[in-house]
Amino acid sequence: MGRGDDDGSALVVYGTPLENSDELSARKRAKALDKGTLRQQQPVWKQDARDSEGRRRFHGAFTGGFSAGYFNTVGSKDGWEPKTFKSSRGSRADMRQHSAYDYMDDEERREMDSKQIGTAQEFDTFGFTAAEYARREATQETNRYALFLVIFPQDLRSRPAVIPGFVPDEIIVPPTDSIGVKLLRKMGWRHGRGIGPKHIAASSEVKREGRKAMLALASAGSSSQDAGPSLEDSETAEEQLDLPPTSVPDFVRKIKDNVHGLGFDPFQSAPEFRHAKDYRLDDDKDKVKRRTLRPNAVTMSKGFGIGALEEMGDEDEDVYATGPHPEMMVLEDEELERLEKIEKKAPPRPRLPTVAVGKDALPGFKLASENTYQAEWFHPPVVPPDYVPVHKFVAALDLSQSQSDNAPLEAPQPEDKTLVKLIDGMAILVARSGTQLEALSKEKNKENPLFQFLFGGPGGDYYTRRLWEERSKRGLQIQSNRDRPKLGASERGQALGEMPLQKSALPAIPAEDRARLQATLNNTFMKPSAEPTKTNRLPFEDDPAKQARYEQFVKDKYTGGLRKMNKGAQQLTEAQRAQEILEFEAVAHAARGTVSSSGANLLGKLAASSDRFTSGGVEQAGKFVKSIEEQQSPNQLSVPSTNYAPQPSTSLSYPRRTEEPWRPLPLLCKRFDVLDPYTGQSSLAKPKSRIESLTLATPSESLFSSKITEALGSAAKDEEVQRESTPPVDEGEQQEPEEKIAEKPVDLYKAIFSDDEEEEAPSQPVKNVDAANAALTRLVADDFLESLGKELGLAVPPPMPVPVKAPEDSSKGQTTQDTSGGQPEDISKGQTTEDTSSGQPQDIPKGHIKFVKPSRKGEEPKADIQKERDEKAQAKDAQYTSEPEDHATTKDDKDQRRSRDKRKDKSRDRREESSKERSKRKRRERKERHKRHKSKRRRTSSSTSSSSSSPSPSCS
Amino acid sequence: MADQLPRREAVVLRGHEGPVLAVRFNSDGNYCISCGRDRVLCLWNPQKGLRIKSYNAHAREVRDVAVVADNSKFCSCGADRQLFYWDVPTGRVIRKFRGHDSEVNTVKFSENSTVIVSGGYDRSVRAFDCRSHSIEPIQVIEAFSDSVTSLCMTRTEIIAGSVDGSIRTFDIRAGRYCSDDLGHPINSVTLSHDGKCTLAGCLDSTLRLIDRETGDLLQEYKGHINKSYKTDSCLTNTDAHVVGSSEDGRIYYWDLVDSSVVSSFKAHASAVTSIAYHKTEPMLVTSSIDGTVRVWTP
Repeated sequence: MGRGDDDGSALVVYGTPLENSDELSARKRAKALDKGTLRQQQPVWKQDARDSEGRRRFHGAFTGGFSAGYFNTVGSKDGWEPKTFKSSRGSRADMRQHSAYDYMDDEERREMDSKQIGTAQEFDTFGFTAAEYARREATQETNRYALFLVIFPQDLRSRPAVIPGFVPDEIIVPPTDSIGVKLLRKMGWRHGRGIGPKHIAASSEVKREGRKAMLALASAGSSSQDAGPSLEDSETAEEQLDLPPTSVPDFVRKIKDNVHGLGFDPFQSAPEFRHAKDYRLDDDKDKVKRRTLRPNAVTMSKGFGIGALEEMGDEDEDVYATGPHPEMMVLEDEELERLEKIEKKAPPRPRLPTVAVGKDALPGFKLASENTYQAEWFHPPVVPPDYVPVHKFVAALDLSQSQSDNAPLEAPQPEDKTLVKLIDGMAILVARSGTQLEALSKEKNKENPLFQFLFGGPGGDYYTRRLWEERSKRGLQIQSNRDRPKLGASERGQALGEMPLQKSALPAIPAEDRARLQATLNNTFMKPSAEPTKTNRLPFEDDPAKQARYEQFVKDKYTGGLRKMNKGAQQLTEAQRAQEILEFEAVAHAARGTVSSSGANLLGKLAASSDRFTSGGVEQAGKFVKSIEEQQSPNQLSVPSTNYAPQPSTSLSYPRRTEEPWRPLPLLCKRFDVLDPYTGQSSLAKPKSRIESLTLATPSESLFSSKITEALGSAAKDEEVQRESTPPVDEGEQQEPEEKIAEKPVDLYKAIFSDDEEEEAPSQPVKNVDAANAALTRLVADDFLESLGKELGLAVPPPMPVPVKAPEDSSKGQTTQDTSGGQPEDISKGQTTEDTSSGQPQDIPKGHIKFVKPSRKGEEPKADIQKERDEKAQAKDAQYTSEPEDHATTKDDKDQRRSRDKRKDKSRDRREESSKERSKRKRRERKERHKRHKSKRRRTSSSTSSSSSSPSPSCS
Repeated sequence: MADQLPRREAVVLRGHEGPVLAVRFNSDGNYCISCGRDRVLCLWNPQKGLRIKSYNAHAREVRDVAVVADNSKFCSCGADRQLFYWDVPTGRVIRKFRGHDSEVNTVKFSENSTVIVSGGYDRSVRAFDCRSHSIEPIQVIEAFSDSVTSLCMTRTEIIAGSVDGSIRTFDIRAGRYCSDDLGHPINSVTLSHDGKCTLAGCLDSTLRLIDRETGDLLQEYKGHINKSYKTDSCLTNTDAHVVGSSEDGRIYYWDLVDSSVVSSFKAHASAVTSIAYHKTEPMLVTSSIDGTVRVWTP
């Protein structure tokens, strides 16, 4: 290459000079070291684990430093970052399938992949990798060529290029064959051919085998041995010429007409059946031209090993053939002819009876001449002549109905034959389809003279008789079932024994009963002279059984409890019984009405003195009869009206108006934009409940109230006296708050607390004097004790010893004497006595005690005994009535406070008095206010007045 | 006059799957709303016969519905014992009032639409406040001795008819109530447009016209059948005729004054459950057990 060694400047260098081997090795060494491949050259303690990229594998624990894991293992500086899991209804977090791959780094992944079994590139016969490989090869080639060009640039044109310039690799892909294909091709295989030895090729084999079988069968002797090979020799040449093995499987060629899986052959192990099937299929089409090969010889060679007869000397015989079965194939006609010739040559042999192949017998089997199997034959059941193919539900026969349905008399046939026919037909029809039909035809044929029998005309009797006969024939129950109208709500209710919706029970009573009832009523009311015996009151005289039942009913009614079934009523139906009960109810109601008016249950007496017919009872009775009158025509009613109060017309009796006060809640009024009519009134003017009126009606109340007024008068005086006598220090200290509160007018409280009261009003019942008083006193006592305990605990030394008790008792006695003049009926005291007795000693100042002590000592025991007695009596009452007065207690706070203050300096009885006085004052105020609302107050008549006007001290 | 009565079937509103129990006009009469045993409420345009919306929240049959004066809301009640307060455009339930102890038969709004008043099988009338968020009744009236079947409202009064046979008028302004005992179970109560009379449908197949002032019976209207079903009755917009529905599917018109049957026609295949008369025009809507709502015009 060089032109001259001497002329160093003129040296021209072509290509890349080779590197110094030393330098090269050093550089390589460094690189290898970097990659970690030179590990073995270092001592063990200096080596470190590196991955394929040369990155250090271990950090942290080995090298120190907390950034372990950050550099090439985990994604972030902080190490593993937990993923936030978010899932909402709108966007569901998808289920993530975690695999081991997610937690591997590249190296591990590669390692993992390397464990998988895949086709090596060279042996990837059909795959993509082959092409890919080839392409890569080509690229390498190109690269090499490029290198070559660099080295030998003048050879540029030497490369044959179809497309000048740059050719993309993707377009030009060199043809590649897998090694298998290459090998096959080398072995003489061509594309499109099947793989495998040629003699498997179907038809040739078939032919050969067929022939072999023929020969084997035909010549049982030794002659077959030379015939066979010769035949084979002649055939082989042509076979190999025209029958190349094909790579197309059999099932592709054939049209699939079954439901088996692709390629599945149901007859694989039982070819006889296939043959039978084929024969059956082909039978219709073409019997003459196509003949199947006798299959027995062939099939014997399949799957059962090689028998003695089949020794062909062919080593490569496919004994367990899995391919297409040769017996499927058919022989050409010429072939058959040839076979026939051979057959003729052969000595005649007994033919196997395989004639009727396919249809009736399996190959190898013979049809029996006579059938030994006798199928048992059952005759169909005999249908009875009267069988109707529709089921009828026969209900239990209604006994009562059939009993009550007494047969009409036998009637002679009318002379007219057509009429007889008509009647018969009609009767049958009516019996079958119910009385509606009768009604219909009645309506239709009103004018028709032929149908007069329907209206009781000529032949009527006969018709009824016939109808009855037909009905009894058909079975009454069915008929009545069909006849029954649809049950309405009222009927059902009646059947269930409920009271009907109508106000009056009478309309439910059937006409005849009503008439009877009417008659009885007439009897009862008409004869004033009749003695008040039981016989007079028999509503069901004509039916003693019923009367007995009625009496039982009345008895039960008054004793109450579960309604017992009458013994006599057992033969009645449910409906009848219900009806009867209603009837009884009505009668009893009527009787009671009259009875209650007189106050005695003697009707006769009552009727005798008709002037005693007064007020509600008469009205009720009158109404009762009148309601009957409504139902019936007036001429049926023969009751003289003189006995009764003047009756208003029917329409006027009913709308009856009653008015009552009703309290709408304030919120309702507000929402209706209406002023609350009860503004400022705390208590709800509700009609009193029975319990309230009962407690109010007790005589103690009036007595009590009068006594209160009395007591209050004397108490006022007494209070003044006591106040004077008490030490001034006490007064100044304790009287002050009392007065403060006491001076506040009740209306002010009202103004302040009215809202609250209105809210609470509905649940707050009307105050009862007794109850309120009792509750008040009890509460007052409790409260008083509590507050006193507190106050004295601070100011006064611990409880007083025994001597103080006597004066306390005496003070009690004194008060009784003072206020009520020896009468021990001060009820309000009753509750407090026990409570206060324990705490009393604490609060009574000594001066006070002294004052009380001398004057009243002698009388105390008597008064105490009496009081005790009263307490016992009253405690019950108070407790009973005060139970529901929860709200009252809270209301009484003001009173309590006032009285409590007073109690501090005065004795307990005085506190009592003061509260009473307060209540009195309040009552007075109340009265005034009530006068203002006089119009509203008036509405409450005498019944409510007692509660409203009576003092209720707890209400403010 | 009589030929002005709505007797011609204009539109059949189909959509309910089962008996329709009530149909009501809205306040201007352009729409009507029906409810039924299929637990659905349907809003209809009766002129065009279109179903506009259906409201679905009730758990059991819906027995009555009432529309607010400004038509923005309505209230329904039914056998599930609650009162549903609905928003019309969105179809949402604004509130469910804790209604009655048993089935609620009827519901009405007060005149200013602030209070829902309902009557139920538990023998009480209850008033609920629409303005607060409370679901408890603000007033419970338990003056009845039997199921309350029908209600109507004036500015300051609640008029309720009950199966115990009385019409009770609760006058909030006066703070009292009066009870008119008619002696027969009352099925429906309607006010005349002049507010002076009450028309009560009784279960003895009679409609009764009661003078509200005195409580007198002014007139009785008979001819139809009404013995077991809850049906409606009303007066025409002119107050000249009384309209009643019958259990055989017929609609009856009576002359208000002389109580003669002016006209009657078969409206439905089965019992008519509810009728509503347009406030200003001669237009009648009827609903029936047969599952249809029919609109009638002259």
